[in-house]
Amino acid sequence: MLLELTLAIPVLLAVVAPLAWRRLGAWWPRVASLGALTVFVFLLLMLPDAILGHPQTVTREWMPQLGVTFALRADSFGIFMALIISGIGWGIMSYAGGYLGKDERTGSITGWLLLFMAAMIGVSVADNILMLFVSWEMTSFTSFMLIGTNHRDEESRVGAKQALLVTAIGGLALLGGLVILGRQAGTWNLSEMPAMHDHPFALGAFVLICLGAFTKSAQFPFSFWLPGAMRAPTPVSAYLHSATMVKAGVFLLARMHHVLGELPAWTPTLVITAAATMILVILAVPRATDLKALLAYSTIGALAIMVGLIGIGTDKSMTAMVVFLLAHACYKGPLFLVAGSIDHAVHSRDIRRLGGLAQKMPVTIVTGVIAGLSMVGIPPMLGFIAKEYALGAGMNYAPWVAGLITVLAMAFVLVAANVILIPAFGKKRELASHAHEAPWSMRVPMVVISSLGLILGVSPGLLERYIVGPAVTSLEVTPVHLSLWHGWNLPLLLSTAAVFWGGLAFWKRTALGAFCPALPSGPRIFDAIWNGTVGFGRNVTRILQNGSLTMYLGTIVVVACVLLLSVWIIEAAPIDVDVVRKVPIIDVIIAAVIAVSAVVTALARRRLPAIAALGAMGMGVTLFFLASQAPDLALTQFLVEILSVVILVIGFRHLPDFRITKKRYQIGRVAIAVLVGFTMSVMTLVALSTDYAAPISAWHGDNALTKGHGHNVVNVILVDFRGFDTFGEIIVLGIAALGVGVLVGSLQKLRKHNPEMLSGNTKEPVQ
Amino acid sequence: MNGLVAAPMLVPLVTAAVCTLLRRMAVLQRGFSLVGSAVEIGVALLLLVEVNSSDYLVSNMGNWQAPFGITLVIDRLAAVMVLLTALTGAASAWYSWISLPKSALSPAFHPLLHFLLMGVSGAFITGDLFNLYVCFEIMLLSSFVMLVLEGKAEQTEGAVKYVVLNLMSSTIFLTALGLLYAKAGTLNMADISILAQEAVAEHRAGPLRLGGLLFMVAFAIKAGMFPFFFWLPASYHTPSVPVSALFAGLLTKVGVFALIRLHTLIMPNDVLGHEILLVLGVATMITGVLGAAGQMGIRRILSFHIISQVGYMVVGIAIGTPLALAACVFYLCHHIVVKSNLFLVGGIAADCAGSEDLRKTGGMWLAWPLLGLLYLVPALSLSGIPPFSGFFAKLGIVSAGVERELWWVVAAALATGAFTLYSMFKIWIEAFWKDHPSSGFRLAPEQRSFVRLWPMLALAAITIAIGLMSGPLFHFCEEAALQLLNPNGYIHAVLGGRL
Repeated sequence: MLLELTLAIPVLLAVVAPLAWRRLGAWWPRVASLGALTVFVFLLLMLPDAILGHPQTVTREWMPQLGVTFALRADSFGIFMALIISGIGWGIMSYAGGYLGKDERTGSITGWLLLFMAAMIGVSVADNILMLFVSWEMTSFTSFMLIGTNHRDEESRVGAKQALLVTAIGGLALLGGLVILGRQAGTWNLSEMPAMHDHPFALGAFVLICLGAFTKSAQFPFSFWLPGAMRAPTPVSAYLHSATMVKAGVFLLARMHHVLGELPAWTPTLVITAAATMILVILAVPRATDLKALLAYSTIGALAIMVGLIGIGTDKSMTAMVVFLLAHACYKGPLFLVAGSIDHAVHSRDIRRLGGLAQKMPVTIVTGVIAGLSMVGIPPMLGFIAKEYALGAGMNYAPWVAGLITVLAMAFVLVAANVILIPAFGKKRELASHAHEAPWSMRVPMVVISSLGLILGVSPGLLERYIVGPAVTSLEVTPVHLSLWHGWNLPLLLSTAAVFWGGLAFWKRTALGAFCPALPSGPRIFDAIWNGTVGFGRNVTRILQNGSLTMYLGTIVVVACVLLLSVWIIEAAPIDVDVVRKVPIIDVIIAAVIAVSAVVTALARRRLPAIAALGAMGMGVTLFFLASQAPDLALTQFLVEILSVVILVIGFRHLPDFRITKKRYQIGRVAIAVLVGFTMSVMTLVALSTDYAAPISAWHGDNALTKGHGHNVVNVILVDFRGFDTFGEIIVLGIAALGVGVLVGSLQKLRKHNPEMLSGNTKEPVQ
Repeated sequence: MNGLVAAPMLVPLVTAAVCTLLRRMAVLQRGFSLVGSAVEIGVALLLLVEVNSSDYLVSNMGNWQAPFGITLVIDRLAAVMVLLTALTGAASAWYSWISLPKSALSPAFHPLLHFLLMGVSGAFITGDLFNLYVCFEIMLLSSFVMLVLEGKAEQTEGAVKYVVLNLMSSTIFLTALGLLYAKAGTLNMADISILAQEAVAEHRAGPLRLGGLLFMVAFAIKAGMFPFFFWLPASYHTPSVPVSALFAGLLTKVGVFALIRLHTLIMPNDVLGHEILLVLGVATMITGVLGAAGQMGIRRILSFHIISQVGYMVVGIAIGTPLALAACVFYLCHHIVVKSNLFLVGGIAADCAGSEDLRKTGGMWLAWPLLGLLYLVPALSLSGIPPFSGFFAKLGIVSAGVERELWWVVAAALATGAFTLYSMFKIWIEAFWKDHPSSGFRLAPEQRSFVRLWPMLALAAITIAIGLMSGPLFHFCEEAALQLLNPNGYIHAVLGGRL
């Protein structure tokens, strides 16, 4: 029950959000944050069960045939993640109330945020992998809506679109991977899934799942969408694009560790991707000047560390990953909020324009310093423990990994200094004069969350016993002992070096920025690839859908003939030559008449001869019916032919001149005509060469008089045996009559305005 | 209950006839049209319940025993298709009542609408191939007239292409019928199925297969498959909104339905035919979605997406396993509702924003958030975003592909999903998020009337319900698929005595 409520509360609050905001005004964000806090408390209540190893579960049928079951399982790692989500969620809701103030979009923003929260909790506690996917996609969509909050601004729209496309492409890959995995495993529940590394398609599933995780967690080469997503209001960035959503990829990989971790490709794939991402971050940070961009790059870097740690996959690295995840949420969330407060106060996030805010905004700055220290990894902050263990695990795997993490830690120092020191203590700028401290609703969350980094850092025992230990255990890995102080060892040395060199880099930041090469713009490359594909599609469509009715008909006929002839050859359908020999001489003569008239029709250069030849062709068909002893059919055909000749003669009077096609087109048309003729001959001969059963017409003949009470069999068939067809055809005639009425009106209009349209060969403007 | 079998054709016929008589009394005509739609839905629901318990409903027209007369047969698939036809028709009639100014609507609209429904329903329930042809004729002629109702130049241009290419389909269909009759001497689908099964057993099915392929081409044109779809993008964006919503929901689906019948009943076990269908289906998915990506008109984008989605369904038929067919049936149900709804919502958005060209639209999210939400439901569903119906439909096709290890099909289906998402959100970004290009853009209160949204609300509710109740619904689709894969059940129901 508690577990369902953790999802239901945010969803319900989200549904009423726009209305509640209108009714409650400034109280609404407080209500929303209270909702998040309730979820947090409920999760805490479920924690003991999870730690003791019998987590709460929910199972409801949804679409069991395809594996989708509403199955939730609140194990320790899931609760760990959900606690972060709801805890930070509380802070964000409260902060958003102050940050957005009287902005009329507050209702919808908080609504989407709450919906996102529900989706993200769903990702955390889902046991069924497709249920996880359902939640996963909802996070992508809500993220899109939130990034586009300022949708009147074009860059916001572009950022939202790219974030959606990248994460959705990853999502589609993930879906493929999960379906393969689930079908192979025979179960769709994570908790029941065995180690799958020796299954035949495990590697394929792994690659697809990695695509999903890397796009979501902004790993190389999909990192570029995250800086673009910074167009969102700061509370959104703090929540989705640093503390929670981007960790979904990391979370998924951690969940997959016990299933696919034994694959030979697991470690190299994750570690190399992480390393590439780290290098990207290291190169990008020195040139960045926007507070949020700086923080976004460091987030990408932190995610890369976590991905790498999962890739290494030892007890120590998995423990380090969990600690890092928590530490990062505790410092990156507040840092974003600090950046938001600064932006809120002075309306700028450019470090070249900020400075001297320490006196004006003391609480904000102190919070920032605490969070920054954790990010830099100074004892006794939680960030320090995280970095120590990450370095240690990296060291055990390969020295170069530890080295890379050290350089990345340097970049973090640079980021922290840029984000906190420059605005706080830098040269006082003009902007600072009207700065003001943020309101309480914004200060409290910042202070609480960032001080958690300090509290948890000084109590590693608590952390190990109730939070990190159980979480790691539920990933089927043995947690290693946590402590703040390990004595003098190599990780500590590296850590110290990183701080020192990072400080140096900050001092020489201008030179460093000039030294670092400008990176190719990820969004631009993505756009080029994407637009290239769309352009390719447009060209293909221009060729296919080019507006020419002649070409449409030609394509259809040629493709049909080619298909038929190929199947004829493949199936080796027999042709009985005797059939041809049995054709009576009169039929051959009539066929010759028809053929000659057809050729004459095609070659005619004036209208009247063409119509006359067409009429002759029809008469040939009439003769054929006569020869086959079907006088009633012949009579009907005769009337139809006369009528069509008359109507054609009248009709052509109103149409534009006869156009003689160019020679080269004529050759093509002759070829098509020959192809069709040949194919139809083959089809007819094949049909005549085989008989499967006696036709039912014998029954019709036998029963026309006795049961249908008519001497004319054709008549009885038309009006009785198959009277329903005739009934349908009568309706067709009725519709035609109705249509003529409509058409006569519209054709008169048309002829006046645009006679060209009637030829059917106008261009459809393909845009 | 078997007396009701012809009702899906007769009720629309009566409605159409009465609406024709009432053509000078607009209000009465609309009212009667809606009543007729409601009765159609009721009848369809009755039939669905009935078929769920008794598997097949069979009725011989004129009481001439099969295969000598014409037989109407309703199985699970036919029943659900009839229901969806009635729903789409009702939504279209409803929309035309509340959202089009009286002058914009030709008095011939309502009669033609019901004639069309008659043809479509007839195509679903007939058990006779020639009668299917007759139903196609009814559909073709009524839809052709509906295309040109307003007599605009572009409508006539589109209609010429529409009618010529569809007549090509009719011609091919008729040729195939002639050849088949020459070989098999019967037109009753069940009867042909017996012959086909015997021929396969005796390894002399080659000539029948050739005939089957000719049918396939005819139906593929109707279904809008690659490379036969030209008539669709040429015409669907031209008529008034309720007409194109109706077409978008139903017309191609008749082709898909005929392909299902062809490959499960008329020519079962046709391995080569399945392979051709699979390749063409994948090509349809891809060309459709590529066509959509480059368009800038709302209905042009949506039209190309019909093609792409037909590809998914055809792939389901071609894979042909119980899972794949069930997924195909599920896809059909989901798609009819979603696609009609998108055309309706798109129509309102275009009407409010003053243009269908995305470059000239904008500002709708701020101007009318509710309309935005109503767009998002079918758009997300079509893009396959959970928990909406389209996700489960896509999941079905992907699972079926994975089951058979057809990796290239799975890859194509997933990649198509990405582009579908792209164009759905292109409409969202351009028509809803972006500012309207004219600065003085404001909605008139009568444009923004809540009443206009009712049909879309109803369809959106159905979409959400399909998503939430996908389990039981998919169960129904599985049963329908099993029924399709067991042609002997159908044969027995039709020709019971003779078998």
